[in-house]
Amino acid sequence: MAKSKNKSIGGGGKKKKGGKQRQLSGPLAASMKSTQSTRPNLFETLWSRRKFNILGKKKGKGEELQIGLSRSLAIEKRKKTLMKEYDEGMKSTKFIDRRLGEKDAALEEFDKGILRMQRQFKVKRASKYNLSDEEEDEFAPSQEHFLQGMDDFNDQIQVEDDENAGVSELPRDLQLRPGNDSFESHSLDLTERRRKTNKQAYAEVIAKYKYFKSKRADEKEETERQIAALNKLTDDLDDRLRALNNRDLKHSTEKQPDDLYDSYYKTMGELYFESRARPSERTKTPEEIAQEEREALENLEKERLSRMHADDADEYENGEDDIGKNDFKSSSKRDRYISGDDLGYSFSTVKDNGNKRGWVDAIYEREENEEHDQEDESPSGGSESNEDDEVGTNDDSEDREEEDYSSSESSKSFGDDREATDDDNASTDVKQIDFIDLHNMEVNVQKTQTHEELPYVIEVPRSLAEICSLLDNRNDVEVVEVIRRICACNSISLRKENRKKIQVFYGFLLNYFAVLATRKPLNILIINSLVKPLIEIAREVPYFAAICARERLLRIRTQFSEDFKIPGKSSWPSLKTLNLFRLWSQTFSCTDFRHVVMTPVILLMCEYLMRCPITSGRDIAVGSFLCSMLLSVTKMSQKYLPEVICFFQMLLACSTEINPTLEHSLLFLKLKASEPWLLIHDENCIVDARLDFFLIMDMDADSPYFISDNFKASLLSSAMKSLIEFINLYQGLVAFPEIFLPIESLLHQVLQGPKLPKILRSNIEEITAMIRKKSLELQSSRRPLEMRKRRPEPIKLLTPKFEENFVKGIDYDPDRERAQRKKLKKQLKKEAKGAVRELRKDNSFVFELKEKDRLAREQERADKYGKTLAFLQEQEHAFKSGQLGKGRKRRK
Amino acid sequence: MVRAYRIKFPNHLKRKRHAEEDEEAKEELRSEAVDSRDYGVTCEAEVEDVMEDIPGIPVIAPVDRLKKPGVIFILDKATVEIGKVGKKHQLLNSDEHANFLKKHNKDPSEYRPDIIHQALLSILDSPLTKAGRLQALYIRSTGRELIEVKPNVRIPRTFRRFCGLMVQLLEKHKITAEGSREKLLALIKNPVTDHLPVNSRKIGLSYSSDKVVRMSDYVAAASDNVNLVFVVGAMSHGVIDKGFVEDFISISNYPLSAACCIGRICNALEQKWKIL
Repeated sequence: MAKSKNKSIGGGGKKKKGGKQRQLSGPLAASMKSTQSTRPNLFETLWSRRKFNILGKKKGKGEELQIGLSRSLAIEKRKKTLMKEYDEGMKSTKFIDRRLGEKDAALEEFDKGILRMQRQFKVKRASKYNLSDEEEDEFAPSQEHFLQGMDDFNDQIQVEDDENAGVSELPRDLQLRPGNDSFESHSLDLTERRRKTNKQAYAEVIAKYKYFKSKRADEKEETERQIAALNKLTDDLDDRLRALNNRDLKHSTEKQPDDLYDSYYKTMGELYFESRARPSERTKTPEEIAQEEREALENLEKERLSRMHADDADEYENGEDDIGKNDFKSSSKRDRYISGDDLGYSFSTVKDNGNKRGWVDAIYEREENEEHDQEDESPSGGSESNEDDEVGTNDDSEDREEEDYSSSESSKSFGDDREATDDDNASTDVKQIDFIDLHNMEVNVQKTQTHEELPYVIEVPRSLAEICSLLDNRNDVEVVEVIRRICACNSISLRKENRKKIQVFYGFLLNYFAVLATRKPLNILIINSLVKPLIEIAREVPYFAAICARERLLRIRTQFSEDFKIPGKSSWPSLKTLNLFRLWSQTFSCTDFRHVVMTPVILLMCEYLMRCPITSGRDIAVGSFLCSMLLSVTKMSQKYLPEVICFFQMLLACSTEINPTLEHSLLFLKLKASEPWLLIHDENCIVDARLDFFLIMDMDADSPYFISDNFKASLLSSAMKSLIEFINLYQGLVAFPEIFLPIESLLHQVLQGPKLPKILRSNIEEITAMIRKKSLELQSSRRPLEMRKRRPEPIKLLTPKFEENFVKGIDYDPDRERAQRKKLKKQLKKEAKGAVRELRKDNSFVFELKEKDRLAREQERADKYGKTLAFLQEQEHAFKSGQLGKGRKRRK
Repeated sequence: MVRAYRIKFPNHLKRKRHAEEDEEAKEELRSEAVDSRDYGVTCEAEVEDVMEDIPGIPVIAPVDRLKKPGVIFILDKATVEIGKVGKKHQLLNSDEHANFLKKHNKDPSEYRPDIIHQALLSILDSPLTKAGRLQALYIRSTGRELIEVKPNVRIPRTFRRFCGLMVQLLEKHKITAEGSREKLLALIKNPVTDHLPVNSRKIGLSYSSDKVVRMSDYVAAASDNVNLVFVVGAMSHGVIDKGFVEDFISISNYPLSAACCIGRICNALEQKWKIL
């Protein structure tokens, strides 16, 4: 490569050097040259060196520079061009070379010679030595290959062999004279012939097409005919085949009575009687259901009224049966959703409702019996008599056996409850049993005396008095039924006005519920039974229920604050308030972070716990009841109530003898817990965890029961139970040790008391152990507070910007335009620099020339001056020495 | 006459002007603060008293970062060389270019850029570097190129990408950060001693040295005023250049790889400076 480059660069004047380099290259050449050439320029032998060597890369475009050489070449070039110009610029006359071909650089030396020769022949001898002008020169230099143009290759050769002439003529014509006449005519002929054939061909094609078309139509007709014939044939065959098949089948069934086949038919026969899946009725909208319910009730009412007027015993019984059926229907209708998978009436899910009705029926019957018999009331509880009666009625009708069975079950469960309470009473006080029994008896008496049949359509009561008259003297089941009927008749989904009615009804019912708690013979059953319908109605009118609750709460709160001001009066909440609290906590959601009703309720309960001073054992019972209620309320939301913890502390402080060491830590408790209310004196007292709260509430504050050790122990144990619950509730809190450790120390004090029942003792020990363990766990998991604790920040790392497949010379700028612009700018700069450099070099070159000229001129001048001076000196010398005519003068 | 257009200031002049304005504003503030301080003196004194009274809160003076002693690494005799394999320029490496190297009469076993990659990773990933204790890192190649690596560079984790990075570095002589013009890697002028701080102690590491030391003791013995410069060889065979090395030590009885050796040094320094 270097060689060829050298050749191209060194053409012309530098031929001598180029020739030498053609043989040798690189450093070897340099060393050789130094020995061989006469005047070696060492700079020219140097090659540019790469700074960073890349293995395997040949020298590229910019890298094969021989800087010394190129420099000397540039100087040579300048000598040829710039120096010449400079030299000629000084001159007034100019020699212009007008020899032939001297202007055309493309011509070779040989061509030039030939041109001259031709010209020599052409031009007359006389003017042989005249130089040609520009115009005279006919030999157009535009023809590139002059000599080729003069070649006789294309000349017509008159050849002797005529036979071959025809053959060779045409191609020659084609080559040489494309615009020949004969050829044109020939080609015309050809095209005409082609046209003709085209026409013919088209005609032919059309004819063929027509022919084939007709043929195809014929074929089609033929095939259709054949198909029709075949169809006829196959139809015949089909008939025959079918007949054959049938005969075959009969044969096979008769011949092989398969077991499998048999069993199949058997099952088929069985399945024939099975009921098939039938589409169920579509799911009804709540409005429709309500409407149906109402209609059913109205029908029943009509029947009842007619019955009342007719007053026929037989009909009554039938009617009752009907009622049973009807009611059953209505209740089955009440079942909201019956799917297609429903098993039919044999597996009814409506049993419960039916049972309830059955239960009511049983009561009716019993009461009828009672009326008939006019027996004296047995001193046993009403529920027991219930059971007895039911057993009696069981024999009457077999139809309702199931119902009765389940109803008796339910009544049994009721009875069990009652029995349990009875047991409680027995365990606590004998007097109480008597009292309760008496109370029950009274209720029963009332029932039997004043019971009438319930109307089916009941108008919504307009006042509290009305509702009292409606609901008083009814037993719990009837009350529920009455409310249900009222609601069903005035369902909100039926009419818009019903909403208002129901709202008013809810208000009265709530009032009634509250009033019930104040009545002296406390009917817990009715209170309990009222809860469910109240909750249900509240669900329908939630906004109104909330407003009611808030109003009542406000009143309770004002009452409380007034009570609190009067010294000596117990400000603890009454049973009515407690009942309402319980109802609301069940009606409204307790888990809301902030609830319109529940938040104030909780706050109020806590306030009671915090502010009310304990003046009797009853107060403690109320307080612990409030605590357990708060537990149930906050169980889900896990709210932390410090008042409850305080109350527990106080309760425990009450159960110990007032200790001087404790006082400093429990200053505020001292005020409230003035007496050791719960200090147990008897070790052998009976501990009963299931205190009947209603019973306690019924008693006077100063009854002797509250001083008994039994009460104290059982209250303590129940308080311990709720304390355990609270411990479990709050065990996740970080401040658990701080909350419960004081309680633990108090529990220790209680344990120190000498006369503690064994069960209670073990219980308390368990609690203390639990508290200690949990608080230890939490304390061990605590970490010391760390200030200015910070992880040292690592230095910020920067990602290098690079291309994985980097190629030098490519701009990796994503903006192509910018890259292009950059590239152009770079090029421009480079060019500009190059130009400046060239100009500078030219300048210095010219300056050198001028300097040389100047020097030469000065030299010349100096020479001249010297010469002249020498001549003058010589003259003077001669003059002085008297050689120049002095003597002549003297001689004169 | 009114000037038709706003005078345009060059950017650097603007900056200067802004700075001056800021200073003026600050001075004003300061003067205001002086006024208010008269009232606030008593308050501040009280606050300080309170601060002293609070038990268990140690008041730590803010630590000056500049005073922390650092360490300098030099990876000597690294073979980072580009070859034109096919059409592309690639970092020559004994695995991929064995035939190419043989063709050019080179020993393929000498071309081990993976050693440098490992060594770089082990230095730059060490907690020492994360804590900002690595002052500088230089790579001296066999081809007399000197590469400066900034401590805050994130070296590509894969060898392929590392090769790409080195190729671009050797082609363009510098690598900048993404998004800024900060030079992360650059070819710099020889000799390396010009770039080292004045009171530096150059320690060469070689298995060939007779002075076998326990690194933690050795490092602990060095004072914090002296900048430690460790010269570690990043080649497969041979000994590092002993030209400017003051102390020539061996830290193990076994020949160690560059990465392992660097790991030991870093561990020792982390222990000394309590970097976790």
